[in-house]
Formats: sequence, structure tokens, C-alpha cells
Amino acid sequence: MDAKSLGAITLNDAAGERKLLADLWADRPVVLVFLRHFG
Amino acid sequence: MRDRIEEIRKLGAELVAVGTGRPEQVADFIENERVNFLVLSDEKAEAANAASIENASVFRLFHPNSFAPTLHAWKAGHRIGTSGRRVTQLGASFVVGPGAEVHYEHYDEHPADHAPLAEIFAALERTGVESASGVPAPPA
Repeated sequence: MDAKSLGAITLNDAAGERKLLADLWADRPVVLVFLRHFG
Repeated sequence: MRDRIEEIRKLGAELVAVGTGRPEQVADFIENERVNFLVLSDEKAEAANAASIENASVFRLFHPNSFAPTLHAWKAGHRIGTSGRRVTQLGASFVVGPGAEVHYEHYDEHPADHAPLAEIFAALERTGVESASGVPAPPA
């Protein structure tokens, strides 16, 4: 997995706020889990 | 994994989930499951594609190795919730950062396959980030 490519993507949170993925792990490690479903 | 979130945070890390549904489904999931970490909507599969996450064939979705874990999860009270837009997308887990360094990756082989928590915590310790208490994470 290329974290630079993935980090360039922005996704919406529950409130519709855009989050740049690279910002999430810029300063700390992140356990990033892709879910198959919600719940 | 969410039962271990405090341990994750003590290692100076954070848990982030990415789902296949719309933001409204994310909000329902957070409320219904009392989730206390960030959950993002990847309804257009932008992140899934960038992370090379596969879609499963029918044979992988109903892989025999998934039967026993699925039954075990069912008996433990876990239920499959709202499906997102891509029911055939498999799951995956990564440990990323600080920066763009990938310390761990696990692509699920079938729906009941998940990254072993011991491997995730070992990867977190390898990041060498100081914990919230100021104590450095132990060496691998």
C-alpha cells in the first residue's frame, strides 16, 4: 500500500466534513481499518 | 479492535475506520454502536482503490474458512449491520505513520478474516512513538 497516494485522498466524516487522510497520520501512527459494512 | 482503543491511544496512536456507506450511514453507525473514534465515508471507493483493496468473488465471500469464525461471532452476539455500497469489498487493516511510512498491512482473505491484534500492536510498538504518558513505546 502506498501511503502517499492514499494520503492524498479526502473523505467525509459523519458530519460531512472533509478529512485529508495524510493529515490523520502526519504526526502519529494510525490504525486504519477498512470495514466491509457499518456495524 | 475498538475494545482495545485505550491501549492503542496509550501507544500514541489513533484508530480510524473507513466504511463503504454514505456519511449518513456513518453517523448512524457511530450513534448505534457508540463508536468513539473517527469513521469516514468512502462511498466512491477512492480510498479503497488507492489502497488496492479487493472485491471478493462469491467463492471468497462464502469461503469455507469463514464459516467457523462467522458462527463464533454470531454466538458472541455480533451481527452484521448496514451494508454499504459495495457488499463484495473485503476489509483491510494498516498501521501508518507518523508520515507516510507503512508499518503493517493486512488484506482480508475472506469476510471473516481480520488482522491479528497482536500483529497490529507489534507494529504500533515498532513506530517508536512516545505514549500519551510520555513513556517511549518498548522496542520490538
